[in-house]
Amino acid sequence: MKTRIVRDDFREAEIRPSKEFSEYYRLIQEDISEIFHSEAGNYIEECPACKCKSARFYFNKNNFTYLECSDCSTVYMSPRPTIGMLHEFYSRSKAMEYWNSKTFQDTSGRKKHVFAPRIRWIGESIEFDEKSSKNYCDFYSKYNPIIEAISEFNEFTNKDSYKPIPELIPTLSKSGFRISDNLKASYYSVITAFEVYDRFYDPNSVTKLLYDSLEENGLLMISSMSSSGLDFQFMKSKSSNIIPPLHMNIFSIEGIVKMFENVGFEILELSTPGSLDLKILENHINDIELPRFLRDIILNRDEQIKENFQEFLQRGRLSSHLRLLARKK
Amino acid sequence: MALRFGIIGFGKIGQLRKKIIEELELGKVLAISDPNYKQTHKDIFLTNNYHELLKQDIDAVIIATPNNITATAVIDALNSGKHVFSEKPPGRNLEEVIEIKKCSAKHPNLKLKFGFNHRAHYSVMEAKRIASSNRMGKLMWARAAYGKAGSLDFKEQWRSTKNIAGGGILLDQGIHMLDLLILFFGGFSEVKSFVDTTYWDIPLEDNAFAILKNSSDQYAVFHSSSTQWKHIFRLELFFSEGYMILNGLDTGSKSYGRESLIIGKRQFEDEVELLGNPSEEQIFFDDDRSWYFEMNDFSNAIINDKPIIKGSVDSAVDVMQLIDKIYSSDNSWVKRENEGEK
Ligand SMILES: [Zn+2]
Repeated sequence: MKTRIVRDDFREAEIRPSKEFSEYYRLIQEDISEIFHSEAGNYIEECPACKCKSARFYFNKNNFTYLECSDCSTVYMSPRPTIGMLHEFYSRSKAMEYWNSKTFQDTSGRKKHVFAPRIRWIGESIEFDEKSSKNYCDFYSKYNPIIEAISEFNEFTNKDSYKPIPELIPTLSKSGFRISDNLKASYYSVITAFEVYDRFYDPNSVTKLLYDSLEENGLLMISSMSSSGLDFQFMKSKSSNIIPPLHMNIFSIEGIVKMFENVGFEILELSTPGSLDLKILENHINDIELPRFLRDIILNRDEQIKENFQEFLQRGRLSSHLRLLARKK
Repeated sequence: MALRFGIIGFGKIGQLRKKIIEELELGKVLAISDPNYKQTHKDIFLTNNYHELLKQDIDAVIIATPNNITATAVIDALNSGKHVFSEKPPGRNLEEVIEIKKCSAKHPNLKLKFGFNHRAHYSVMEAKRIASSNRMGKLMWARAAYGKAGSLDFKEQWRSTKNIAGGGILLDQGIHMLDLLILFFGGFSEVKSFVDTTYWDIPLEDNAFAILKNSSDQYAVFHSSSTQWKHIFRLELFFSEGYMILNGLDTGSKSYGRESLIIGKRQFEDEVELLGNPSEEQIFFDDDRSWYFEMNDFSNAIINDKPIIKGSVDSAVDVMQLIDKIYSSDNSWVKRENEGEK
């Protein structure tokens, strides 16, 4: 298994413009009070990653409860909204509408620091021996820059988008993508699923579905948050990345490995190429409890030391955002 | 189909090959030839004369002998109808390898593969794939360094004996880096070089420096050393649109550093603040399956009658030709060699 570190220096505000994010959070709060006012949802009996039945309370956020798996330390929401409630949320949510309609998704900062490295990653990871037809699928597509970039790849014969957000449909048709709402078995050579794994009600079944949809040696590439990361471990409920009810699974490194291997995948790469852990802690230094040692690094050490520290986190897969590349065995 | 193997030369490497054959369930090792090895497996035919081994009912032989035996053992094995996997170097010099090639041509149905395992290291395969995808543009130049520190018994080893080893560090270790340069560049037509014994009291070179050029005006600077007190494996490949740096190598000793591949893209003039210091990615590889890939390739080639791609006799001749040019382009070295022979 390989791991990748990315040396790219930028600030949180470059990828999360604060004005728009504040509005997004405000609308989410409104959604929650309108849509999730009564029922509790379903209690989850076992860790969605490793199936361990024992867990402890981790934190509450916006009246949603998160547990930490006693075995693999994956953090997950339980109880969680039923699939019906989630459907209602995604169809009625004002926050989602605001987020998806906003062009700030595609700002130059996000293009450069979020999407460009991801597109390079796809390009560098796909490898085909023979010249037979190759099918690509982006699972729950939501990012314009990814679709536009993939449309330029000449490796793929067919390109599908599974259940994209409606706002993406014009780009998809322009870029030669077919839109689908079911996956053919043993059909795809490459499937990508970016920033969706933390949202699945049952990530284990999704992983099985994707496994079945891949041809032999087909590749699955995902990105998601990681509970093993430094920023998440100290920010917990205060993390602006954790937005209930959207984020129900925050996988630990150990948990995600177990989940993918149990389904039959071989993990080729697992990386946490995040650049922001230390900067996020610095931005919230007055709102959170930090050990003196970390406070000292953040407040008193120079930029070089902080960069080295962030690189150390990446090397140890200890940053808060993960990428995984897996092959169907 | 389970293959029946014989192993000629059962030192560290021969034993490793046996372990891999068994782990991958490629077949059974039925015979071993080694002057020093004592019988431990009752069902294995043991001899100190490899000609006896070649009379056994086996499909393929692994040759892991000192360099002075390699070429004749390969030729004898082919002539007795066995498929052959031989460790590098494929011989002590170019002439020996050309003899092997002639012999191999007489046995088109027998597979012959040489152990250039560096091509099957993860960092190399990843770099090769990216280079082939053309995402980096045109390869312009490379800087390559591969070196080790020798060892306390360096002087006494067979590797340091002229008539056994045939060459020094260039042939022993540099050959791998040159093989990789050929992998990325296709080959080189012009060579300028210095070869010398700078520190060790041995009759062979302990350092070789070369500048290589090919007809596409691509350049490589190469250094092979056994006075590299801190072990190094580093290959910098610079393309029109970016660069890749292979640094460190996952070996048994771990002394070459954690195997990694750095990937960077050329920055453009509108990104002034990053000019000369672009953002880059580094991939770390935590295991080495190269030996396993090699044995698998060899076994697949035999069973499915597929040609040998990595480590073919042609690539062995290519790399030995390059080594020959590096030795012969240094007039002082040639003079010293000629005087030594008198
Ligand atoms: Zn778990």
